[in-house]
Amino acid sequence: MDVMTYLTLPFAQHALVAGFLIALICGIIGPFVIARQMAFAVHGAAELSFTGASAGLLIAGNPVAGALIGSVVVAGAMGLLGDRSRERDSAIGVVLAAGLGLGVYLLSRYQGFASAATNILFGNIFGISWIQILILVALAVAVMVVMVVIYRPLLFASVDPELAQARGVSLKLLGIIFLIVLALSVTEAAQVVGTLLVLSLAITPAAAAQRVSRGPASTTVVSIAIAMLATEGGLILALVWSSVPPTVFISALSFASYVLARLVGPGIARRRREGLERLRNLAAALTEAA
Amino acid sequence: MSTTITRLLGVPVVSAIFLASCGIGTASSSVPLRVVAGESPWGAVAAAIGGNRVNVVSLLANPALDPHSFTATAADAALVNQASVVIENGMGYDPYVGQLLATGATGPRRVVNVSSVLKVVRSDANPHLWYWIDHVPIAAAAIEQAMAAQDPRNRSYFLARLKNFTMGIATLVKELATIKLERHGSTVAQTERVAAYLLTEAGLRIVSPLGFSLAIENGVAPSFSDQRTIQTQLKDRRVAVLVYNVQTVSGVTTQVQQSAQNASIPVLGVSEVVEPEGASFVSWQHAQITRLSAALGVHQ
Repeated sequence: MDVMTYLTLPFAQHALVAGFLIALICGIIGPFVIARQMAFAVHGAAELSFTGASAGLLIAGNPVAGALIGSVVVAGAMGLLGDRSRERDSAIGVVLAAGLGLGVYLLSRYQGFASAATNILFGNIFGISWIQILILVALAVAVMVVMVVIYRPLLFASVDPELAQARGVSLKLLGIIFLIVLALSVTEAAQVVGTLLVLSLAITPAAAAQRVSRGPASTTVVSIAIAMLATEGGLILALVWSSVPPTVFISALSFASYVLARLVGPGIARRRREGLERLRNLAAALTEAA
Repeated sequence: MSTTITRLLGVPVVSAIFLASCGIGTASSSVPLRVVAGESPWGAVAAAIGGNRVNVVSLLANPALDPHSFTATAADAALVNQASVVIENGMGYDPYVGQLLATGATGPRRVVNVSSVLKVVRSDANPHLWYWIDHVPIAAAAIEQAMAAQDPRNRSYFLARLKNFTMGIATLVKELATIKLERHGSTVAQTERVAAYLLTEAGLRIVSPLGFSLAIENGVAPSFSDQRTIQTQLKDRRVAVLVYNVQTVSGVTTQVQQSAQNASIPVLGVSEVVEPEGASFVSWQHAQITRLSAALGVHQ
C-alpha cells in the first residue's frame, strides 16, 4: 500500500492531526524545559504516568483518569521537594523511584490482565480516536492560555531567578504552575503517543532550537517548527516503511535536527557570551516593565 | 404478436443485464473478505471457518512477542480500518484492537468481541479465552455469523466449515475428557494462567498461587511468599506437571522450571499464540493436549 492510499484512511489522518497538536504543545513547553534544566522532570512525569494509571485501574478501573490525577500529584511533590535548583534533580529522582515502587505495588494488587496500564508507557499514535483529538485540542488551548499568562514572569524567573524574586515574582508558585502544566501535558501526550515520543518532542526540538535561534521568542517558534517537522515527517516515513513503528522515525528525525543544529549553530563559547548578554538586556527590560 | 416478441426479446436482455450485474457481484465477492484478529488463536478460528473466501491477518502472531508491549504499525492500523470483520478478545488482553477500531473504518465493519460473546463480565477473569476449549465453538459461531453477514453469498460455505471446525473441537473436548477420566483431581502448577481453562476442563486442580501467575503475567516481581509456595510445591513433588508460558521467560520462571526438573516433574510449555505460526487451531491445541496427556501418563 502506498502513502497516498494510507493518507485516505482515518487512522493516518487522525495521527497527523494528533501529531500536530502534540508537537505544538511540546514545542511551546520545550524551551522552558531547557532553560529551567528540567529534562529529567519530563522523564519523571512521563514514567510516573504508569503509577497513576495503575492506581486508576485498581481503584476505579480507569487508567487514563488515574494517570492525569497522578501527574498533578507528582508535579506538586517534585515542586515542593525541589524548589532549589541544586536539589531539583535529586528531588525528581526521589519522587520517581518512590512512585515507580508504588506503581509496582498497585499493579501487584490488581487481579486482572494489566495491558491497559503497561500500554500507557508505549502509547499508540496510530490508534487515535476523535475523542482523543478533542482532548488534545483542549489541552493545547489550555497550555497556550496558561503559557501566555505566565510567559513573562516565567521567562524572568528562568533567566535571572534572584532578580525576579527581588522584584516580587513568586518563584515557588511559578515553578509549581509550570510543573503542573508540564506534567499534565506530558502525561496526556504519553498516553497518546508513548513515553519515548514525549521525551523526543519535549526536550530535543527545544535543545536544537536554542542552538540556532536568537532570543526566547524565536527559540519557541523554531522549537515548534522542529517538533512538527519531526512528528509529521516521522509519521509519513512510517507510512512508507509501514512495518516499522512511527516512534522510531520521529525520534530519529528529532535527534538528526539536534545534531544538525549543533553543527551549524555558532560556537558554544560565543553563543554563551552572546546569550548571556541578550538575557541580561532582556531581564533589565522586564524589570523596567515590571 | 410484436409485443410478445419484444417481451420474448426483452426477457433475455433483462436477464443478460441481470447476469452481468451478478457477474460484477460475483467478481466483487470473489475478493476474499478481509478479517483481522487481535491475536492468532482467533485468527486461526476465522481461517478455519472462512477457508479461501477470507483473508485473515492476526496482529499478534509472533510467539516471541508479549501482548503487554505490542505497538501497532501503520500496516496494522490500515488493516483494521479496512477490515470487514474484526475479532478482539477483550478483557484488557488486546486493548490495541479497541484503539485501532476507534480511529474509524472505511466501510461497513463487524466487530466480534469474544469476551462479550462468551458473557465473561468479571474484569479479573482469565483473559486467555481461546483455551476454554468447550466454549470455542460459541465464539466460532459468532465469528461465522459476522462473516456471513458481511458476505451472505458464502453463508453455506462458512456454515459447512463451521460444522467441520466444531467437530474438530469435539475431538479436543473428548481428549480432555479422557484426561479427566484417568487423572481427575491431579494437581498442577502454572507460571501464568495461559492454559488454565484447558487444565480445569481436563479435571486438573491448579494449586500454584494465583498471585504468582498474575505477577508474572503483568511483569512485576512475585511476592516472596508466593515464590516460596510454588518452589515448595515443586520440591515436595506435590504437583504432577508444571505448565509454563514459553512466550514470557524470565529469571523467576526459569528458576521455577529448574526446580521442577530437579524434582523430575514433567514441564509443559504452552504458548499464547498459535505455534508454529500458521498452524491450524485444532492441530495446535491437539499437539498441546497430546503433550499434556504424555506428561500425565494418559493414553489417548
